[in-house]
Formats: sequence, structure tokens, C-alpha cells
Amino acid sequence: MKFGFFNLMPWPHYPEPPRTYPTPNRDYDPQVGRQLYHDYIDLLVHAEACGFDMALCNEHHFSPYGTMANCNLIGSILARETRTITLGMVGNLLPLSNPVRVAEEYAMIDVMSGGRLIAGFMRGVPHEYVAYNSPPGESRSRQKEAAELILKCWQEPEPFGWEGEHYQFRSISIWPRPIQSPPRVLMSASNEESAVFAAQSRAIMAMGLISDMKLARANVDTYRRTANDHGWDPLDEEIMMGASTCICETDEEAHEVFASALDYFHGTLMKPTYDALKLVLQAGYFNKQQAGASYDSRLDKVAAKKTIQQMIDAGSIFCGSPESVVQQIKRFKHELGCGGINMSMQIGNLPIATVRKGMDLFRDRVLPHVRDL
Amino acid sequence: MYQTKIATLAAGEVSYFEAGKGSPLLVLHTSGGPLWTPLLEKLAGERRVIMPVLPGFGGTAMLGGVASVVDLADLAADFIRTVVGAPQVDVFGASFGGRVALYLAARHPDLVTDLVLEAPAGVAVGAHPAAQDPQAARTGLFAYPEKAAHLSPTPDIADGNRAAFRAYGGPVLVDDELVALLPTIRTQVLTIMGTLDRVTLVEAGQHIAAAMPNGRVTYVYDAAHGVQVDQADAMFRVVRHFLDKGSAFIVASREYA
Repeated sequence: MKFGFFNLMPWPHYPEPPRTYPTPNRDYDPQVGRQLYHDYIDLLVHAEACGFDMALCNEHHFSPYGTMANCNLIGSILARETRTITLGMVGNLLPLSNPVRVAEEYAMIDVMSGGRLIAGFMRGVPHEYVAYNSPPGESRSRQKEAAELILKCWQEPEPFGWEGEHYQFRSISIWPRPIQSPPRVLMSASNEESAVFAAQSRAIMAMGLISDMKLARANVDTYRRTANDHGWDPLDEEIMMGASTCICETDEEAHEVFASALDYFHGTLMKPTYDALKLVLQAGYFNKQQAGASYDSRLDKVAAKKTIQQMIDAGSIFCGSPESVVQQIKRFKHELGCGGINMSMQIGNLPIATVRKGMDLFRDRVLPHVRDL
Repeated sequence: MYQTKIATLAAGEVSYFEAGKGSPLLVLHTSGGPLWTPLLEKLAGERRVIMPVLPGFGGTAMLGGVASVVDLADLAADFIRTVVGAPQVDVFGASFGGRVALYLAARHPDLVTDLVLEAPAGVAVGAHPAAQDPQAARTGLFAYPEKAAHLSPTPDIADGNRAAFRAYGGPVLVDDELVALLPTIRTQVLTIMGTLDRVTLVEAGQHIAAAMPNGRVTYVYDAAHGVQVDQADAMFRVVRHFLDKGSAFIVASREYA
């Protein structure tokens, strides 16, 4: 079993739930932020010493829940600061980006790290499209076209042109080209359509924010079946499941500190994101005059408050003592057939020291029992 | 093109311009008087645009009992009830008219759906008076004055406009009474600011966004105070999107690109 350490790089000091999307940045203190970046990067580097196979970076915009606006900036630091760990950029949001730029930056990370890149070809979530003024209805087609163009950028031996629906370039020849030929690609497979696309693309599938283990299993089955239809058989390690994770000495301690951190995450940091999601639905399905309470109620369940145990049972989080987390990971392997687990351990306002302690517990008391699953 | 009509309100007769069909949009004009700008022409292609001539402007007489910006807001409310024939209307107020529109939204919230402001007067909280270009109100209203050439009123009417503006209190950088009301206005508000504006300072839009619960600011590039003249197409794109979609106008759409 392969394991990844994922860091959202949240802002842990927001005073109260923001009243609007996007969150005004007046409450961001850049001097505090400077230290946070250093501490968060230290954790990603520490992941290598803790036996994690992957250090995972992400991209979010206009959001206090994740202050990594460009994962490649952090990835380039990790390329220098680490030696062996795989660098998972999960990743650039293709519908929002210039695909040639993505191909170049990923190639740089791959070269600088000696071929350790996993290149995430992500589609993003709705509030990202709002942030970058990209029509949500085009996100899938943009992702598909950009993914193909990036692979071309990495593999074409001669300058080439591209005349697509969304992108047009007269002549492309990126420098550098990557060490891996091509780099491994990862895609989100959080719904059936995404799972099919990931399998068709021969990409590693990744799922996060699981709310139902049966639905997650259905996505895995779709991914495997589609892959077989396209002439290949995914390895277990190409099926990655992500979950927010908190490991403490005891179950009681872990449940208590994680409940508080997740309350802050969902109730404060994520609130504007939920508001933006409502606006996307409103823009797509309703005129202003027609918009009433109906679209709100469908989304309220996204932020519905659950207990820690309910979230563990649903497969949304790993939480507890090292021994409990071992059992939770074994359940994932048994029920989902996954060979990769991405642990999002720096979330909400969880203290950095708590996260570091959890990483050490993972190394000493979790990993020895799950490495050979 | 618009028609000129006369309405009889409680305070007296008020003339108004009207064009187009569809959802009504009430326009509250600037201290430059009722100018039928390129933006209004575009909006009238989709909406019923109605612009009352505020008493004293556009060659009309002042009305007894209408002596302040607050009085103008109450007059506008009466106009909505008497003329528009809809329980609520979207409102567009520019510069001086933006100040009137904000009072209208504060004093008569049931009458206003969404509110568009262009470089509104009276709300530039935190602005340094010295940053205001004293010549701009006369010579710097437009980045492209040639676009406004055909809109200029006759000298007599222009003199009347200036006299009416003075009668209503003249230029005001910060209207403390209005500023105190802003947090109470729940209406969705889009404030348009030109990047070259030297009359309404940048703090006006910033304050709307900070102080109003549903206030937003959008900068239109390469436009001065008269954005609706300098960059009519750009302003039309964002205003049309906002008026159609309300707060969801921040979600990109090819239809409004």
C-alpha cells in the first residue's frame, strides 16, 4: 500500500464565518502567512522521513481553507528539499490554465526532481471557475482538450501546432521536456463520468471527500471496467483514496481535536465555497426571479454536521489512535480494493504540532502494519 | 430612441424619458442632466428603461417641497409607484443619481430589486479630498470626450443643470447621513468604477464593497467618470449580466461575454 501526505495549507486564524464569496482578504496577515508557509513546507518535507510515498500539493483560489494558489510553486521547493519521495501535484486545474504553461511547469518539476512527478490533471470544483471567470459548463471539455494537449507537449519530438475548440497554438516546443516519458498522470474520479475519463486516459484515479463507501466502490468498479475495455489493467496502487486524517495517542484525543478542526473547516473556512456553489447552480438553472429556496436545500447536505464516528463510518475521514487508523485503512483496502491512500492531515485549524505528532505516529505505529497490504 | 412623457406626482409634474420593453429599469441621472447615453440605448434593447428628469435639470423647473437629495429619493419612490406599474424595479443611478439611488434603496427597500451604481457620489469614505481633481468635474468627465460630444445640452440647459445641482447641495465627497445607512441596505448592489475616474474617487467603490452586506465593485478599464459613455459596450456586458442573474452574475457565461 502506498501513502501520500496532503497539506491544504489552510488559514487557521479567520475570526468568524465570512459573509460573502469570495472571502475578503483583509483578515489575512502576510507576516503570519510567511511563517505558516515555512511550517507547512516543513511538514511536506518531513513526510519523506515518515515513510510516506508521496508529498501532495494542491491548487485552490480565493479561499482561506487552502492558500496554495499554485501547487507548482511548492512542488518546485520540494523538488530541491526532498530526495526520494514522489511529488504529487494534485494539481493544476486544467480548465483554468494555459495548458502549455502547465506542461512546462510540470516538466520543470519532473526534471528538477529527477523524474519524481505525478502530474494531476484536475478539473476543479465550481468555485474555482467563478474565481477565474471560466464558464462551468465548459469545464469538462476544457479539461479533456487540455489533457491531450499537455501530453502532446511532453511527447512530440518536433514543434507542433494545435487547433482545438478551446486552445489554439501555431507552434509549440516546450523546454525542458520531462524526464519521465511521459510523467504519470492522475485524475479525479469522484463520479462515474470522471472515473470513465480517468480510465480512458490511463491515469491514476483519485477520490476524495467520500461520503458513501458503496458509491466509492462503484466508481472503482467503473474505472477498472473501463480500463479493461480499453485494453489495460490498473494496478492497485493506481487506485488512490483520499481522506482527512487525524492520528493521536488515543481515540478520545483524536476525536476531540479533529471535531474542533473540522467544525472550523466546514463552518468558517468552507462557508464562502458553499455559497459560491449555490451561485453556480443558480446561474445555471434559475433566472434571478425564479431562484428561491429550492436550490439551497439540495446543497445544505454538503455541509451537514456529522459526528466523527459517522464520518469514519462513511469513509470521509481516518481518525483515532494508531491502532484504530490501522483498522480503518484495512477496511478501505478490503472494501474498495485501493492500493493508495492520500491523507489530508493539515486541515482547518488543526495545530501544526498535532499534525507533526500524527505523522510520527503514522511512521512508528501505523505504517508497519499496513505497508504490505 | 426614447419618448418624452409627463407624469403627475404628489409633488407636481415630472417629465421622463422612456424606451424599450421588458422588465423595468429606473434610471437616476447625473448632475449633468438626463442624457440618453449609448449605454441606455443598449439597455433599452432588452428592458423598459425609464428615466425621470429630476426637477430643475434638463430645462425643467424645481418643484416646491423637493429641495434635497433625500426629497429626490422620495420623489423617485412616488414615481415608481405612480408610473412604473411594477411592485419592484431594478435601479441604475450614476454619480449624483447614484447618491439618490442609495437613499431610495435605504428609505424604500420594498421598491428596489437590484441596484447598479456608476461612480456614486457621497460615499468615498477615507478618500483624501486633495486626490479629487478640481478640474475633472468640468473637463475630465470622459476619457473619450468625443463620444459625449453629441450628448451635450445647450448652454442654457447646462446652466440650469448646474443651478439645480447647487440647489440640492452640490458636490459631496462623503455624505455622513448616507454612509450611516449603507450597512442597512440589503439590496444586491453592483458599483461600476472607471479606472481613470478623478471625480468619484476609488474609495467610493471600495467602501460600497466593504460596508454594504451585498455590495460589489467592478472596475471598467480605460474609462473615466462617465463610464457609460467611455466604455458603453464593456459596461453593458457586466450590467446586463448582473441585472439578469443578480448575485450569480459572478459565474462566467458565454451568453454574457
